[in-house]
Amino acid sequence: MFEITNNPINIENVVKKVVRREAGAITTFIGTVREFTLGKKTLYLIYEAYDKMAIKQFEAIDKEVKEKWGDVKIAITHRVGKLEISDIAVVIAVSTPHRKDSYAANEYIISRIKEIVPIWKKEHWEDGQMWVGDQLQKKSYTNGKPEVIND
Amino acid sequence: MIKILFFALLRDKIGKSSIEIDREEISVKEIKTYISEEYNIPSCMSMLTSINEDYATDEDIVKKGDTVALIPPVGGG
Repeated sequence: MFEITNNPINIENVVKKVVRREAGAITTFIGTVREFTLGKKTLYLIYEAYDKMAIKQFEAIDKEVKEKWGDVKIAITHRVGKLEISDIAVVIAVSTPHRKDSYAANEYIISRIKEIVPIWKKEHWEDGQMWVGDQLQKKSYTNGKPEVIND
Repeated sequence: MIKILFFALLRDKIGKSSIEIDREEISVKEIKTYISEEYNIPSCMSMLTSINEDYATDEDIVKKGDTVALIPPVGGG
């Protein structure tokens, strides 16, 4: 259900993983490479992951989602390596009996990926390059690690 | 040996993706202090860390055979 890949992501293959008879809704989130960020033109991105830990964190997110919404099935595939503008970086598929839970869980998952999953991106511009850390992590974690939400 | 992994900007700064240290036991904070001083990277003191792919705190103890990673600010999605 969870994958880090060097290859282009096949959206339908991710969606198929959550198809089931109990589902009345499947939401799919597709994260793509944006050309302009704060007015600055991106040429391409390099994504890198700590694969083994990333998969473990996807599993942790799966657990959180099931605690919050119950009957949810999720699949996540994240691409690493060099990505061009409009390439797909991540696909998240969520199936639930009813649509509201599916939308909510899907948005929750991408937010949590940006907080706790060890994946990094390096922006390459015409005049330079930089590893971009998510602003979320600039706050200090009082217990030394990202908060795991259990409620 | 204890293996320490570096990713992203940290790997670029240090110039390698991992090192090994010969210790029976060491705290996460001691590892951070060592990296900070050895490679002159004070920012690593505030980075998240993991032991064997689970998030760790500065007080956690790393034992021989464990794998530690310093996690620079993540940017997935």
